[in-house]
Amino acid sequence: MSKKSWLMYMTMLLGPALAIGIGALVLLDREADRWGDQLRRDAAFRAGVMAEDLSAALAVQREPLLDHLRGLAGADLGSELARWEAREPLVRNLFVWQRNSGLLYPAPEPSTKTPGFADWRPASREQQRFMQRYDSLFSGIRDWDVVGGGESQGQTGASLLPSQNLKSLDDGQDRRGWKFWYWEDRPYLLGWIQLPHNDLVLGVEVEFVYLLSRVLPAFKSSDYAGHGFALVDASGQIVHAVGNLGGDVAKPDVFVPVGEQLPNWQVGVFLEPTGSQPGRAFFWTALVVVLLLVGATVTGGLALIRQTQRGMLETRQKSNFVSNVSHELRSPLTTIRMYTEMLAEGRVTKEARRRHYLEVVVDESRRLSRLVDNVLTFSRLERGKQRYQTHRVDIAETLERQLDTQLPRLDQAGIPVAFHLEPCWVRVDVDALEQVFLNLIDNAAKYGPLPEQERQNRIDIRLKKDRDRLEIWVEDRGRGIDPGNREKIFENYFRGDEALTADQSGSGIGLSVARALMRAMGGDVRYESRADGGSRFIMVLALASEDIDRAEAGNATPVDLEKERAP
Amino acid sequence: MMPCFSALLPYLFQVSLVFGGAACFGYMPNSGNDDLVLRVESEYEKVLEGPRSKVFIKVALDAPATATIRQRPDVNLALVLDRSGSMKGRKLREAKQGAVQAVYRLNPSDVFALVAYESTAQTLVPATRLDDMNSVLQAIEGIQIGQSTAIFAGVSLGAAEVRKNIGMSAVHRIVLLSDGIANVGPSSPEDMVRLGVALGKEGISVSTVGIGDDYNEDVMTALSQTSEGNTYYVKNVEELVGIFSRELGDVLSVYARDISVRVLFPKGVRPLSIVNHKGTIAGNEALVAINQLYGGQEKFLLFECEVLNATAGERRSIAEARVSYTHAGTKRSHHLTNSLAIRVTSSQNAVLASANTAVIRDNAVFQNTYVVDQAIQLADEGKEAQAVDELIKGSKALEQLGKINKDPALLKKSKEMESYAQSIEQRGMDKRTRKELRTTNVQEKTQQKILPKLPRSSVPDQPEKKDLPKKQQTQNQTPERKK
Repeated sequence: MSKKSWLMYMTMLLGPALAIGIGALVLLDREADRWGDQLRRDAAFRAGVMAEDLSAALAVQREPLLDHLRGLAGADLGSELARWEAREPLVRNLFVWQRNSGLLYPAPEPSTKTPGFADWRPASREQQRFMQRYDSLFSGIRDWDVVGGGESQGQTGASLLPSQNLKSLDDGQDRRGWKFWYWEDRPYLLGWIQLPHNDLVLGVEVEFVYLLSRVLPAFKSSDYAGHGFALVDASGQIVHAVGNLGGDVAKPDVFVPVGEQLPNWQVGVFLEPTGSQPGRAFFWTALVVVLLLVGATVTGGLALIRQTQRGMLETRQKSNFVSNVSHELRSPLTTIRMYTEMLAEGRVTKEARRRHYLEVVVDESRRLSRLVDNVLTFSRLERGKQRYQTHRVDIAETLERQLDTQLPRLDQAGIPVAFHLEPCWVRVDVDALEQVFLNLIDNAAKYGPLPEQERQNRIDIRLKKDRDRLEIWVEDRGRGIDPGNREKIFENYFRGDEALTADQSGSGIGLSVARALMRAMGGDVRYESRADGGSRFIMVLALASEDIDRAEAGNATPVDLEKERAP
Repeated sequence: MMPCFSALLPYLFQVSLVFGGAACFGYMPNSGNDDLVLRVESEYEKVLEGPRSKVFIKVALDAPATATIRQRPDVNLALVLDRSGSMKGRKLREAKQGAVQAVYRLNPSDVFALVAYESTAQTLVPATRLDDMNSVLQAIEGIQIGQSTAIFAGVSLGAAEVRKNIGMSAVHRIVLLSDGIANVGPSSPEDMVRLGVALGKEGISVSTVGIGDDYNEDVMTALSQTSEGNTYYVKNVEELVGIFSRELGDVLSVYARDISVRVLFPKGVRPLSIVNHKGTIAGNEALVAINQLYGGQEKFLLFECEVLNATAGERRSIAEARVSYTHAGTKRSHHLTNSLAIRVTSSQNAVLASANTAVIRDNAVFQNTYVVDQAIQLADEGKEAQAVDELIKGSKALEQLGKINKDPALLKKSKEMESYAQSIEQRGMDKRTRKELRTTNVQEKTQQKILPKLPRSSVPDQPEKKDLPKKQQTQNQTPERKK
């Protein structure tokens, strides 16, 4: 088959297969991405729920603080604040602030003007640090009762409840709010409430670490779905982690903001390790299926191409065969017709000449019948209808008899034949054996040395006996067989030369028929190259056990029956 | 001024009783008397005249020894165990064993919870009464090694378990065990101070057990100090089971809980600070809340105040202490009151002669803890020479005070400081010395009752008696107390 058609076939086959494969891969990849997205969305949803729970827990903890502050406003506010400060774990510091007077509690200096704060005492170390922390707020540098004012400054987030903010100061409602505050890179939470009737602002600095510790148990889920969840603070540090972290804590894959209760804090999700993701497993399974599909398509296609190729070859060989056989049949027929016509016309008067003509006619008709025999046998073999009838015969005698019929022809061709035979009884189908033998002799005679080889052809026939088999060697000194063709010559229709252009005619079935017949009888036909040029065809016959015994007995004194016949 | 003064007259009588009485406190059992004793004393029994005279007063509570306590308190305990990678092997085994022994000592009326932490924290046993001890023991045995160290989460979950029964009249306690540096969640000493302070306000004390040389003693002591728990440094893992048992013994010996100390200062006396305890000064009173008092423990509070316009010859009322507490065993509330008045003199010598050695010593020893803190900080900054100087300075100050007051306890403390100074000078501030110094310093600050006998690695040739509790050596010098 030509390279071009190969290329065409492969493109036709591989093109669509690859297209299917690539298309499937793209779809798969998209599907895997969709799985991944689904996984992320699911994880983000779970994280969102956890963030809401956490926010709710935070609100539950911190809102009552402002309610309590509101209820505190009494005569001895200073002492009340101090007592509450000492008692309430969520309170780190309390303060009272007035727009015009500044900080009243804890007071930087004695102030007797405001009722409730007459008993001044020095601020504790903690209170001093507290005042320093919020100095910008208390000294009025930062405005703190404006919604969103803090957020625009980036660092702080005032989360004054909007509904309360809308109400004016005069309607008896208090205003309250929360402020996230960062000082020296640490988060602080400040809550404040403005009393409606005096303009005092009461505030609480929440014990932030404790607040976190308090709400930490609320950071959980009944089902982590294989993910790990982490509470991540504003600086990206993990505060708390739950669920399946898959080894040591690294950087989360998905982030969801906690909300206004903890501005800039996030819930981070560690997606479940890729190995156990359903998306991944799906991807790999589907990938294997696609590869199998593509593989099966290509293999199947290749098999079909091969089959077609073989069919085409066979068709061509058959048509070659038919033309070969026709040619083969035609040439002896032409010869026979020509000679018989000449004889019939009676123009040939010399007796010797007439005899020669008749011999030619006989030879040619024999050749014709051999050819027809071969074709018939071939046809029977092809159809599996070949029958064998075995008899015990002396091989040497059989072959000699057969050869005798050929000698005149060979003599005429100037090919000497040497026998190296000894009697040997074998059970064999004589007709088949003869046919094979004749084919080999024919070949040996037909494919003599090429003109440039400058030697004379000659045929040697030998019998080689082994313990359990018999070999008949047919050697010639002809042109031999190219190493690459030494097995092909036994194939149907094969001819070592291009049939119609060759100097010798032939059908291309002689050797294949020979091998088929020999193998059917438990033997074989092999080819060997002779050391000093020429071919050696070996007919192998298996010896039956009785033959072995007999052969051994008869072999005690080998008799050389060599006959030399010179042309 | 006068009506106020006369109102305090009844207390004057009591003050004289306090000073005349015998004080058999410390490790001496108060046999025959299972009441808490409240004392109010001053550094000097006299005060120098002047517009503003500073006075240090000490309010002490003496709990009767364990042996005389008939009923032990209920315990609400959360055990928080480190299962990070570094605990692998012996440490975890010993910790489990310690936990198991602790569980065995609890009663069915006690509440127990178990939390284990690594990169996450899990509540292995939610707060439960110990009816089904087997499941608890199984949970302890089942603890597996993990990776990171999430102390914050561990303590938070432990606290959440204790909090479930916070209304119960019991000793609320978390025992935290760690051998590593917290690496998940808030983990600075400052964070732990805030957490400890808040848990302390809730009435939950955290006792910390640090194992080996790689845990962060600042974090652990910060947590226990501020929440009024105990702190331990377990140098060798074999000591661990013993520490658990001591800690539990301590918890079971709690005599009084929810102690609220209110010190009222009359007009003319101004409270300045509470020296050795967190608390609040509100108006003319100082408020201190103490979570628990162990049997046989003397717990004292030091206050600094100033007496305004003291004139020679008068007797000034200085303070009145009102204490209320819950008896841990009987769960009944009790109240105690005592007060202090001192005479004003114009003679400096008379003041010096009236020294109360015990108060002076307590104050000096407490002040010395700041010296140690300072020395540790200097060493952390790489200024080891200055740290040594600081310790030697502190040692000298203690020695001087000890000589003036003929107080061997102070002299001993001075020697101890000196030996630490020498050790640091020779070998530098290694991990062990730092842990030892920090831990004992915090134990001193918090007046931890049971000081585990720590073999002094830094001074291996010290005789054993160095480690005797100071109270035992000094009880003969304490003032007599009349009742």
